[in-house]
Amino acid sequence: MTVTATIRQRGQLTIPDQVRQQFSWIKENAVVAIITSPLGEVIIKPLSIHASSDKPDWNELWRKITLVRSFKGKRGNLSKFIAKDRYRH
Amino acid sequence: MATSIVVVDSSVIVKWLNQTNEQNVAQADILLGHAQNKSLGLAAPELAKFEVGNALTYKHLSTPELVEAISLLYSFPLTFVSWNITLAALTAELAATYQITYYDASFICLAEHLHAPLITDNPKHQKKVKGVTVTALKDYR
Repeated sequence: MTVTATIRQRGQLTIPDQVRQQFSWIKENAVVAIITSPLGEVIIKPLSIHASSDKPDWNELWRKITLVRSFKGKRGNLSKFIAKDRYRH
Repeated sequence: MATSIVVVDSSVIVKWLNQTNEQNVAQADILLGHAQNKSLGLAAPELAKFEVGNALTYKHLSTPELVEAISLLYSFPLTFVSWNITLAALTAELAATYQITYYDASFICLAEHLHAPLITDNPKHQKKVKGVTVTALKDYR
């Protein structure tokens, strides 16, 4: 489908109703990824940020966090390892 | 859809998987609790998958334990954002301007891109960047 729209002040663009009706992710306050291509195109994609509305099984998640944190291993302070590792390369 | 979004550094994500010799684990849990109770959206560059996976490998877990930990990493309500040329170019600019690594810069880049704060347990270098709110995990409430 191709529709036309006019870009207004400061780059504001209203996505036409016909397009909004096709995609439920086009709604107020949705965060989107705006991608430019070497061909001069601008692509808008949904940037799905998980939230509680996605209903992860939180009880199961916290249970697994407790389990995984109980694994001893041989080394710790992994956040420091990550910070140092970024400057090792 | 989340009502607000924060970008989380790998140094924070890893605390949901490890507590051995880690500081600020309680603050990391508060942050995850806000994702649970306050519809806070969590995002990170895809790089975080590899950094955290590498850190877990460094911990020398048994193979089943490592697989369990990696599996949990992928089940967090956390959006891993793929990098494209736009984000890569901005990351490179930030790294060059502030003399920080491309890795550090990628998290700041995403925060800037999403107009979101960055929560990190590695603020030393990332706090150099102006125009992006960088919150040390120890100060997160």
